[in-house]
Amino acid sequence: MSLNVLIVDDSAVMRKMITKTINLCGLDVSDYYEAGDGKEGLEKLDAHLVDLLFIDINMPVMDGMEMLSEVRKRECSQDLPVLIVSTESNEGRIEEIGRQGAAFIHKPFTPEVLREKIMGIIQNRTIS
Amino acid sequence: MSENYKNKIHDIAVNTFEVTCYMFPLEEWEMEDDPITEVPKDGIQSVVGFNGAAEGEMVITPTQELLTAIAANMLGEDSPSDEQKSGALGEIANIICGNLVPIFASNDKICYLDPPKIIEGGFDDAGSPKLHEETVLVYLDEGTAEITVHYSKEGEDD
Repeated sequence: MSLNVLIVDDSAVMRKMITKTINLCGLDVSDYYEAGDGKEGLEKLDAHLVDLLFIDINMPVMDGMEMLSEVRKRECSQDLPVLIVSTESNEGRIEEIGRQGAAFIHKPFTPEVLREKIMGIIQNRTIS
Repeated sequence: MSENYKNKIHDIAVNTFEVTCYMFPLEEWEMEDDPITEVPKDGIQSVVGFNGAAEGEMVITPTQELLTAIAANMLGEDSPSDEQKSGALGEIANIICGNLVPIFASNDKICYLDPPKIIEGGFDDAGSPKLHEETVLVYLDEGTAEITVHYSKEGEDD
């Protein structure tokens, strides 16, 4: 299955790193879309078919937690696989990410850990 | 306590460089050049401020060779542009600082990070006299980084 991936992060370097790491994982990706904040990310989500969404937490304009909440309010993206990428270590915030049905990966991460996370959320989606 | 903080800062930085930039830590005696004099204070630096359960800022100063290697390894570019070098240094600073702040924040409370800033030509790191300061040198196979953290813990200023 070929995936469309949206990466929402205010750091162009991190967006490129995530793209590079996904490519190293050997996933079949059709298109990559990028956004620099949550608001732009929602606009990209409305404009494109997205199969997998990466969101940073600390971003200007609209942060990642607010974007995740908006994503889940939309019928079309209620079950969309979402991976939050952050240095966050506050347990309360990480639990909230889980309650919103998203997976969490802590920066820094290796390609192997990222692949494991992606495969986990994609398989969960396929099963459900 | 200060040595304890220095060790934690060093370990977090080394882990970040290893995982993100595929670099390996060295001992001081393994360095070919004098690592202290080769870190240029008038070169490029990145500063990340933090507030919330702890307040302060972290400054990272790499050698020129390390700066180029950070961008090259993170982005897979043989000859990264100056913009890519700045962006990569800012992201490294963001990751290190994001992992550092919990050690200054009590009871798992939330710290908020400012976006990383890039400073060229020297940073006024005098800080506030109320802030504590820790500085560590991180020796890597691709160069040296100096990391300075100014911080106050929650409630110290009350």
